[in-house]
Amino acid sequence: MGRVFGAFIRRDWTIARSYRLPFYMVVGSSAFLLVLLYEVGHLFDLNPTTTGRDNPLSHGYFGFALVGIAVLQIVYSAVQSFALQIREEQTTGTLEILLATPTSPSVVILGSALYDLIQPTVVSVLMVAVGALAGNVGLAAKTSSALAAAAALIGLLALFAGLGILVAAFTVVFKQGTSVVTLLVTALGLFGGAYFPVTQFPEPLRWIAEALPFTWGVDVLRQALLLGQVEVGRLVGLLIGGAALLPVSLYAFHVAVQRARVRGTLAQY
Amino acid sequence: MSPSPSSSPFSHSRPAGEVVGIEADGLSKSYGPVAALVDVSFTIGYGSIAVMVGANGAGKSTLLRILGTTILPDKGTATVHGHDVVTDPTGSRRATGLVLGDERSWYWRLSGRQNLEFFAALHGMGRRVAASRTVELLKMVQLDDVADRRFDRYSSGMKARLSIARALLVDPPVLLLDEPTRTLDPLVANTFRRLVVDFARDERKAVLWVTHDLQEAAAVGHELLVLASGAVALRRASVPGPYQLGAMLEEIEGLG
Repeated sequence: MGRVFGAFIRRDWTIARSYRLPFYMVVGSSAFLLVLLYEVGHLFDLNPTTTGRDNPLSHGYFGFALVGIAVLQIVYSAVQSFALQIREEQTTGTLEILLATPTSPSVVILGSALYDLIQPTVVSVLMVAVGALAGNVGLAAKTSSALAAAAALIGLLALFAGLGILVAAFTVVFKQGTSVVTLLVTALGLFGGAYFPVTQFPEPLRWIAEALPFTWGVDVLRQALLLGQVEVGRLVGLLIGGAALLPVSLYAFHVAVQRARVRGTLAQY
Repeated sequence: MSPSPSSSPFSHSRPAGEVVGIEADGLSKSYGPVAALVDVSFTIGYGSIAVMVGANGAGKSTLLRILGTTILPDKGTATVHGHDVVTDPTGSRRATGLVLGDERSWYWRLSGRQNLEFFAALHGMGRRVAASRTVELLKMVQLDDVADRRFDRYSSGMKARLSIARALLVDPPVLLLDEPTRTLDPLVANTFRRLVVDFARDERKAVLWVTHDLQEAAAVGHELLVLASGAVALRRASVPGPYQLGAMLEEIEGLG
């Protein structure tokens, strides 16, 4: 399986390198975002509303939003990459020939989006590192919190990749599905506390926000990176959620491919 | 172009008692109310090229895709090199080389070499084996001097030759070709045909070749299979000349 994943990554890395502009766009937009957050953080911190050492916001808005937006970018790519890749394979005509090889549909769908998951994860981690250095955000330097952050990242990726594979399964059958992802992720950014604390919401919305796994992920990463603390309950919830949803979504993708084979629509777009 | 070296790193042990490369028995497939295939049965032996002709919508592509495991039949069975395409699709895929006339089945921003190495990995080859097999096949189809040129800069003839190279990656005992010369000029098409015919004969492949070109059918085929309205309208152990074949098709389609 590893060699097939390696082949997918090499394929997508080679294709990505053949387009120069998107690389500069990623670097440019990340730099602009950092400056924007930094300046907004200055404004926000002039009028602090939250105190207390155990609140991530007490360390400044810049660090708070930086972690939230980095997580949002990773989640966005995890949810959308699978469906986008499948859609592209459908329209370019490569999906049928991929699924006519002995490689299983599960490996094909995971491999297809691997590069698109790795690239934004690396960019987001670099963005946090650069932002922390340039913006004077004090990241907690504890082994336990670093491990918790890494585990939360894995849990988030597994959970939202599972969601993304479900959207990809939908795309195999109905040839559509990617448009719903943008709406979903925008809503997550709003209700999941990427930009501001969910404690600001009125009661019913706050309950919804607190129940979102995205919120758990952002909270665990903020606690770990900014405060050096480990939120065990939410971290375990994320990991269990990811471990449960990923196999279910792979099974759903397999069913979707079988359905397309029955209907004879694998080559259609 | 010359046939592949006979020494191959890939072995496809022939199932015990297996004498035919492709066998279809009572295959049927419908899309809603439209019957695409109706009770189709035939066999193709090793070393034989069966050409399949028929009007548009006769069910040729559906049949080829059932054998290629990308469409499931409603009824009937089919085996490729002894592997059932429904119950053992992985074994069947390992034994099949699929050539689609469609240029869309490639990654256009990768080179010919990169494309082949990628598909080789999907067939389970390690990087070194994939690289050496790719070199061997590119040489065989005379693309070795443009191996690192991007696919979108290949001519139609080069793309067709790369398609046959991809189909031969694991040296499969069975080849399925879906109008492989459709976009080629006559000269390049002729070269392509010679490559496949020589290769199928020398390596004793079972080949199912779908075509609309009656001259091509007459030139390459050992056996004839005519589909009309999803059913086998005619099976012959030899392929007549293009004019006679044309007359037969007109009669089958009620145009004669």
